[in-house]
Amino acid sequence: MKIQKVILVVFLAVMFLPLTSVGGGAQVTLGDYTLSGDVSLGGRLFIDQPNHVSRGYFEEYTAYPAGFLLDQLNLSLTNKDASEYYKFFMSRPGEVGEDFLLQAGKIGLYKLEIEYDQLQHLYSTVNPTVDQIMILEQRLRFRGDYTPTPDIDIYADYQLLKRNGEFPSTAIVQGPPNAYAYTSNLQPTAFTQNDLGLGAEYVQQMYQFHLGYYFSLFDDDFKEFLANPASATGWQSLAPSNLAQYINATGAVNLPSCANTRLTANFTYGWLSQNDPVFQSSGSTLYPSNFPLGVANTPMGTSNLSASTFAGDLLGVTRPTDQLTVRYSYRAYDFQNDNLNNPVLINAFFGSNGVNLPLLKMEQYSYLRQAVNFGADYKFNSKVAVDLGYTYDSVDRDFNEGATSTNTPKVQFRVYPCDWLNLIASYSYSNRNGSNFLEMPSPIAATSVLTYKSYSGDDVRNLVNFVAELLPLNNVTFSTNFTLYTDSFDNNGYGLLSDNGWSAGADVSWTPCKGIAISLGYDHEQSNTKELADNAVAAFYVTGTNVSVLGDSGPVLLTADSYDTVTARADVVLVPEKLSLTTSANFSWSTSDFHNPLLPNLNESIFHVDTWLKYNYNKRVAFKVGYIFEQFNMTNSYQTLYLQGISDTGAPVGNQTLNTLQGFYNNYTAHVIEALVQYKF
Amino acid sequence: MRRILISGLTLVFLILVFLFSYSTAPATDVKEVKKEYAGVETCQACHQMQQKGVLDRFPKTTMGILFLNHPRDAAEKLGCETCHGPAKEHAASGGQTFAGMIRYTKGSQTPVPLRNDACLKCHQKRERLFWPGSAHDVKDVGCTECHVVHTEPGIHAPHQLKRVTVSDTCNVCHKKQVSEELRFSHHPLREGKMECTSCHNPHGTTSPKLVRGLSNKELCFTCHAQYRGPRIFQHPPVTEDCFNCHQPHGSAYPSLLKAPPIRLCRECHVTFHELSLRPMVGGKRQAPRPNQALSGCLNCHRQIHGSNNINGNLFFH
Repeated sequence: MKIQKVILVVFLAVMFLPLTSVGGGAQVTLGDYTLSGDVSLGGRLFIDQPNHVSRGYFEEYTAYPAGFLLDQLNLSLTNKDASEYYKFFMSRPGEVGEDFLLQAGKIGLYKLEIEYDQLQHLYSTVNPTVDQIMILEQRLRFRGDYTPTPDIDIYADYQLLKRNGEFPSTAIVQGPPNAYAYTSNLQPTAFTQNDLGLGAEYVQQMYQFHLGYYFSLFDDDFKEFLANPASATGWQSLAPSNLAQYINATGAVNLPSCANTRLTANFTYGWLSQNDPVFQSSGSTLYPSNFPLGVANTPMGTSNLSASTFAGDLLGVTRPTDQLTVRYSYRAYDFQNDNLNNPVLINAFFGSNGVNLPLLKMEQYSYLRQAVNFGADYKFNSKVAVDLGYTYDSVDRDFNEGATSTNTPKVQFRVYPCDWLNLIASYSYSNRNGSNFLEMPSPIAATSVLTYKSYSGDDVRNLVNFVAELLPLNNVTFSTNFTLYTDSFDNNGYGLLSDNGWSAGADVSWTPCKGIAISLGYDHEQSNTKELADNAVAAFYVTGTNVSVLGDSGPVLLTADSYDTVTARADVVLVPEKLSLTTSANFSWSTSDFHNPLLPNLNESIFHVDTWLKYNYNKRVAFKVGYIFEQFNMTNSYQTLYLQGISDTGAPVGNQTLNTLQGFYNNYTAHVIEALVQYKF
Repeated sequence: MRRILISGLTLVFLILVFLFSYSTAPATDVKEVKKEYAGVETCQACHQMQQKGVLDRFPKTTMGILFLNHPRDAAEKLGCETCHGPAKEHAASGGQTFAGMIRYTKGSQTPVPLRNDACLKCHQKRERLFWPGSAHDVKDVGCTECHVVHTEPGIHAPHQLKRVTVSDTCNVCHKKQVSEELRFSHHPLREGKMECTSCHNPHGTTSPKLVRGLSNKELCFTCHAQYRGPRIFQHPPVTEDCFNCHQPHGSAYPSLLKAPPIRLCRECHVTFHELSLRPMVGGKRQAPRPNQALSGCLNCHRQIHGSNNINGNLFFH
């Protein structure tokens, strides 16, 4: 609150400074510089405010407090021709989510920026004893750009990111084969991230060259966390501190004498490292003597893990004629895991039969991803164009962890039969083959490796896109689009068998006269997946039961998702240069049908309306009144399920205590009024 | 094999550098061709009358300030003709012909690549290095379909965009992706804390889908570095691509998951125990909590992105 008052005083001083100048409202000159800007302030009140437990979603990323509101302040100090400037911007100071930006620069020579802003992540909770569960992200950013000549660019970018707070989580208290029991807890978060980017560029019309370096240091103040206080082994290790560095070089050359060719090469090399202390589930740090394979005098208290990445791209575009564009590219992305012989890993994967090498390799493998693209776009004339493309990409994983290759030919037609009609249709066929994967043991045993990789199955994908844009009149635009895709995973023993969907939408914009603009849009999306699941070992069923409340045992699992979105917007000038109305509305609703009578459909909808009436008192002063409405609904059946509970047979049982800390998205309705005064100086 | 690959690419790269040094710009000395240019004053003389707003606003824009008052080289001294090309013939004809000129207005006869070339003469660096051959270039998207140079609201909108926000600009063609932002699990775009360009570079990238960064996962780690690792126990889908499990534009399921949590896991895993999910409180089995139904396997396998705990092989710790 103190901060708000200080800011308010500063703001008022700045605001009234120009008012005191000669001529009232004239621009303020400070030597050779001119001070100008605008401010927008007022208040916010709720007609209907979401209650405590509903805030989590309404204010998930942005605080919405009632009361005084300093929406925006812009200050600009510029020299006579505005080539040198100093700018200050702030938004909602004193609120969580505030933003401050300071810029200075000389156009064409340099630019400096300092910004501080916040982002909240508020979690929903139904626990009445908890005020709020939140992680606050704070970002401080410096950026400098220097262009000594039009040919040379030098830049530096530094960002400090801090995340502090806690978020809800669970830990298992009792696992299979006993009943599942969880404890609800708040996991602490204290992340600090330092990112630095440096780069330079030398540019000529015929060639460009760029060198860059990126450094990112992530530090976690909390190394571990007692997730289950009732258990001596209830500790969890949290995100380890780590370091990433990348160097990048890019060169491009234009070769007009070679059929208008441009070639670009891009190389990036990166190092990743992590050397945090190694903990165990009891919470104690491990030292050499604790490792079964510990070698005397070998420091193994920290993980000392590393990996590297290399990416190389060669891209070319050739335009031999105005009609023909040919493009071709090759990309390699190599992830190199350097940890297979790491003593900590060897110890971690050590079991009664020695080191479990298959499992170790399953997790700590390297892979090479490559992609080749060819394409040609030919314009027959101003009305018809066709684009043919082909992509081959592959992923090769070490240690028989599988190879995947995909062939994707595609074709696109663009037809412009007349001035008011544009048609674009495309089709691609994609054939993915998996090979060289470890076989799943049959029959499946409890000791089997758990994983079956979905991408090991062959996939045939068909994808169709169609867009039509109509401009029948100068003041009307109409467009419609349609997408259809089918995925068939023929050889999947488990997991996805098929994934099909389509979407269609249309929108229209109409400007019936000067001062009125209306747009309306609707789209629908549908996806259906079919999955084959299996429960391998009956002995692991919950003790004493063979009927599951959320019986999602399979073997065939069907999920049907549908999404509908309506958008509308109107901009109306009610009195020219005086009174205007802007209103926009979005209504989106979705249904997820799990095709299981014991698993309720998941329905959700959000309806948001934003309406602003603006009155320009004069060229400097304007008044704005806004009405914001938002309504969120999420499956009633979930809430019924929670509040009532259901028995093994699906019958309702008694109410339960609302003691969970975890996300529980409550329905809410919010009616908000905002009134603002805008002043330009 | 990889070393050969890296060496080969490096060699090609060096050849390109060699080409750079022997590449020379076409000998288009501005002084020599200046006779084809009309000059800013000539442009102003006619367009002051016809399009007063343009000439009022243009000097206030970045390019206007630079070209009209502080040109750094001969090309920038050409003012309007830096972008519109030589206009002497156009001026001589009283505006009847546009021979040799580059026009950006609706219905312009100037092919889109030519229009874009005019912009790229100065702007083919940084974000635009990979424009040629990129998804938008191939589809003949003109720079001026998203940006304005001397008309409102470009003066006030960031990056001289034609529309007020980045989302509004992208929404013209990418309605599906913008609609997905309305789903309950979403990134803070509609709250104004992120933009489409936080993750995508619409001017071209080396990664698919115009994604910034080396790959999808490097992009995500820019903000979510806690999942970067490496770790003692790694979940392979995390090592390869975050989008194996997440749908970044918005989802009906928590944490931007692509599918219902339990079913998502079962796309790859054979389940070894019943999916009852019932908490035991006071020795009495209760109905599932909705959050547990939503969280699914993650209720126990908490460290699903990887664990640095020596007992974390099942991602419990």
